[in-house]
Amino acid sequence: MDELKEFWKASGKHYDRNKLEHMFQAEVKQSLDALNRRMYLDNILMIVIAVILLITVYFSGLQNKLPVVIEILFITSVVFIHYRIKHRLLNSPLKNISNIKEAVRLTTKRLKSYLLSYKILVPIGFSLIYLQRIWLIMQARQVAWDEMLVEWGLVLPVYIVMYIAVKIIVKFMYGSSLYELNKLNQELNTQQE
Amino acid sequence: MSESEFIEFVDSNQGIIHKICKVYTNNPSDYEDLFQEIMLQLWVSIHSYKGEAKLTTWMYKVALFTALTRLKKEKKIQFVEEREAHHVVTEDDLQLDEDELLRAIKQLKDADKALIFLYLEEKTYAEMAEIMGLTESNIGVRINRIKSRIKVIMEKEQ
Repeated sequence: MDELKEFWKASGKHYDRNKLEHMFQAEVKQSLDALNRRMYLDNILMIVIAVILLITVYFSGLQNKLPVVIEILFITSVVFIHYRIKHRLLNSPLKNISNIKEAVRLTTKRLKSYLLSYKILVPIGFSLIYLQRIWLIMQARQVAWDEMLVEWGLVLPVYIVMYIAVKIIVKFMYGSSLYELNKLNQELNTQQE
Repeated sequence: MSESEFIEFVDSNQGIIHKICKVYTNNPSDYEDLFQEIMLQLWVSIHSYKGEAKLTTWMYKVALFTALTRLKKEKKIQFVEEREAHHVVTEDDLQLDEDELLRAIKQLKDADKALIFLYLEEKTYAEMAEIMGLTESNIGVRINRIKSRIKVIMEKEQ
């Protein structure tokens, strides 16, 4: 092994100062700034759209504005929380982390909770929007709730379809990351005696 | 830390990043991507460095964590294969060389790669334990096992 250490010491590339500066300015800093800027713009755009929608609802002449307002605020909040999580992960990924094992454990935990919140919130959100639509239709037709039992009952398939769809999307987007993180956790936690 | 101080810091410690990139990547474009990603993570994390550990120890943690948690991009062209394509056989071929060592390291599990990297960097078991979050005795057992594994791989390939 000592022989290998000598090889190791002798090996290695070296970038000159200009290359490092170029890499930092053109690749690292610019891509980070662009990413942050895009995220802020997305956020501002989302707030502007939400305000426009609320104003439109206010002047729309709708009889019952409250459910629509709640729906807009709900969607806006979910998207906003999503941006906050992304922003935090992007800008301080290794904050207060003492070692690699702990960092891997925390990253896995964060990713799992992030995915779990997706799997819970999105199907529930869609189901609530569906229920609200049925309620609005019921009011517009002026019928009793038990005359639309089939429509109310369809909320379960809506929930199941949305849950399966989100699960597939999440697996497609984050499945390999989660697999690698779990594998790494396992490697780091295996007791070697 | 200002931008120029940061570049100075990376410049004086770039050997660490280069070696991590060599261990965790298989082709030149992936290598440069990982180098940039490590630089990015060091830059965004530098403000949370509170000075509890040595700056280089902190750097090992961030750089290794970045390499370990990065999604692998598998490409067919590899450093070693590229070299072999232009290789002329000499007497030195009978001896161990850097390529053989790298090839053996690349066959290890990701966490073991990090440990052998730190071992080759001549870190003490205490430093390795601090970086990895494992106990010193666990590090000792793992290193012995990895050394045997590397020996087997290298013997098999010779």
